Amino acid sequence: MKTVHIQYFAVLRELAGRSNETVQTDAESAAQLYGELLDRYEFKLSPDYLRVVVNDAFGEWATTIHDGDEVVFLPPVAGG
Amino acid sequence: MILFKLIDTPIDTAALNQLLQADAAGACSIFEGRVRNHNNGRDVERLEYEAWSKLAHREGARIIAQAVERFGLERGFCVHRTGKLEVGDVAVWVGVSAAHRDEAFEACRYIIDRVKVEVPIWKKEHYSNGEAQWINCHRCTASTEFDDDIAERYARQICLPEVGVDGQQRLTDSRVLVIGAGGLGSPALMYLAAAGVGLITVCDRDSLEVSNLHRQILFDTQSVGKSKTRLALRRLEALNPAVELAAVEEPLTAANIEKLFAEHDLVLDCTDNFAIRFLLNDAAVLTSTPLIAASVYQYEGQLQLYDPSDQGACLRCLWQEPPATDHLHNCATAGVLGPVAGVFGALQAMEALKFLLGFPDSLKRHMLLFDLRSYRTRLVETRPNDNCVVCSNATPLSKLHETNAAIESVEVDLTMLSPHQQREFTIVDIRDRMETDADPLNELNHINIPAELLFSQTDALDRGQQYLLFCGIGFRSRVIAGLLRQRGYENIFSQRGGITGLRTGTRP
Repeated sequence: MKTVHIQYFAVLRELAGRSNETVQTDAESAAQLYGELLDRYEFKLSPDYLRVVVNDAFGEWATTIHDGDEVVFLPPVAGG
Repeated sequence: MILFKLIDTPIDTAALNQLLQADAAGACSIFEGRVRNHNNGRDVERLEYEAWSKLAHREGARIIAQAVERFGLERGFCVHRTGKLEVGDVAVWVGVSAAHRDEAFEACRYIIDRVKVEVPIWKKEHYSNGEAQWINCHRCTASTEFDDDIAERYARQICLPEVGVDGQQRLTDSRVLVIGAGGLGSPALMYLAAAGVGLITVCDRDSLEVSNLHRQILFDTQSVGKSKTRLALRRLEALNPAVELAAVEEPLTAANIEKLFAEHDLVLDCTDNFAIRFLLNDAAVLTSTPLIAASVYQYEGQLQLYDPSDQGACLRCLWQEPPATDHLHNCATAGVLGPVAGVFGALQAMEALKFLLGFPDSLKRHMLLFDLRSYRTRLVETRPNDNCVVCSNATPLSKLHETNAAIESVEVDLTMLSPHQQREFTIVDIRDRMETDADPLNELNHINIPAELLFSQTDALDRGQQYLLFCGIGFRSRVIAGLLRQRGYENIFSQRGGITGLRTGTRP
C-alpha cells in the first residue's frame, strides 16, 4: 500500500466535496489511481479533459505513482 | 466630411448647429469658448489667434475622429478662430451629437480639452493699458510639464532598482492587447494603464450587464447596457491620459486575429470561454506573440505565460482541445467571488509588467494554481508536448484557419448521409486506449488508430481511401483532419460533434 496526497481543483473539488485528501492505494499509474477515484466519486469528466500533475510537474496517465507522491488531476478552467 | 476647421471670420454657430442633426442622435452638446475681458488679473481688450494651419487641421481632425470612435458619436465637429477677436466673440466651437446625453457631454469635454492642449494655436492678448503678450501654445510647453508629470506619476515604481527610468521607457514603448474587459480584464487594464504601458488595446464585444458589476470593477451601475470596451477606454483615459488607447469591437476570428496579435508585444487572455481561449493560444503560437492567460473558477484560478522565445508549453500542450462546455462551467454557471477574478487579473498585470521589464523570474515553464480559500498555491512545471497539434515542430502550423475557422468542409455528420454515402467512409476512432476502453464506439464498424500514431505513422492511412475520424466531441478529430489534409490526404473528414454528436445529433 502506498500513501498518496491528492488535491482537487475546480469541478473535481466540487464533485469530491473536498479540496484535498490522503489515500491508501495500490495503483501503479496515475490512470489507475484516477480509476479508483472514479469508483468513489461521481467524476463525470473524461480523462480527455484532465491533466495529471505529479509532484508539481505535468505528467502522463502512465506516470508511475510512488509512495508519498502529491497528485493533482487538473481540469482546465475558463472563467474570467 | 471636415471635422476640424480654422476660420478667420466670425463663427456662425446657428449654421454649425444644423450639422449635428442625426435621426439616431437623442442628445446634442455644444461648447462655445468666448473671449473674456480679463486674464491672470489683467484687463483684456481683444485677442489675436495664429495657427500652424496644416498641423492644426491634422491634429484637430485626429482628435475629433478619436472622440467619434471612443464615444460612439453620430456627429462631431470643432471650429477654431484665427485672426483678431473682440471681447464676447466666439473663439472656438465644439458640437457633438450622440444617442444619449452621457456620451454627448463627455465627448464635448474631451474634444475641447484635447484641442486646447494638442492643436498648435497661439494666442496674443491685447490689454487695456496698450500692452500685448503672446500666450504660449500649450503644445509647445507641454513637453516639460509632461516630463514632470511622468516623474511624479511613476515615482514609486521608477525608484525600484529593477525598474528605473529605463524600465519606465520600456513600458512606454510597449503595446499590450487585452482581450476581455471583465473580471480579469478590469484590474489588469487598470494596472497596466496606471503603470504607463504606451499602447493598450481593449477588445470586448459585450455590453455591460448588472450581473457583471460584482467583479468587473472598471464599471458603474449607471453604465449598464453600454459597450464595455468604450466604457473601459473612458475609465482608462481618465486614469492615465498619457496612455494611447485603442478599441477592437468586432469579433475575433481566424481572419483578423493574426494581424492584431502581430501589432502587439504582449497579449493578455482575460476571456471567459474555452473556444476563444484556444483560438488565442493558437494565434499566439502562430504569430510568436507572448500570451499571459488567467482563468478562474469559484475560489481558485490558473495563470500561465506562453513565451515563444522560451520554447515553453502552450495551452494545447496541456489540453489538446477545449472541453465540451457541459462538462465544465464558466463564471455564469459555476459562480465566482469577485476578488478571485480581481486577484488573477492583478496577477496578469504583474506578470505582464515583469515580462515587459525583462525580469528574469517570470512564470516561464510553470503554471500557477492558486486556491484563495485555503491560500494553497502550486507552481506546476509545464513541458512542451512533442505531439502538440499547434506548437510542436512535428506538426508546423502555417495558417491559423487550418485549426480553427474554415474547417467546415472537413466536417461531416454521418447521420445526415445516405447509407450509400456512409459506406464510402472508413471510420477511424482516434481516441487513445484508455478512452476507448472506458467508452467504446460500439455503434459503428471502425478501426482504432490513436491520434499520436496517425501523426507518427501516416502510412497507416491509404491516400485513395476516404476516412471519417471520430474523437469524443469532434474537436481533436477536426484539427487532425485539417493537418492531415495539409500533408496531402485529401479524403480525410471529421465527424461533427464527435461521438457525442453521433449519439445526440448535431442539428438543433
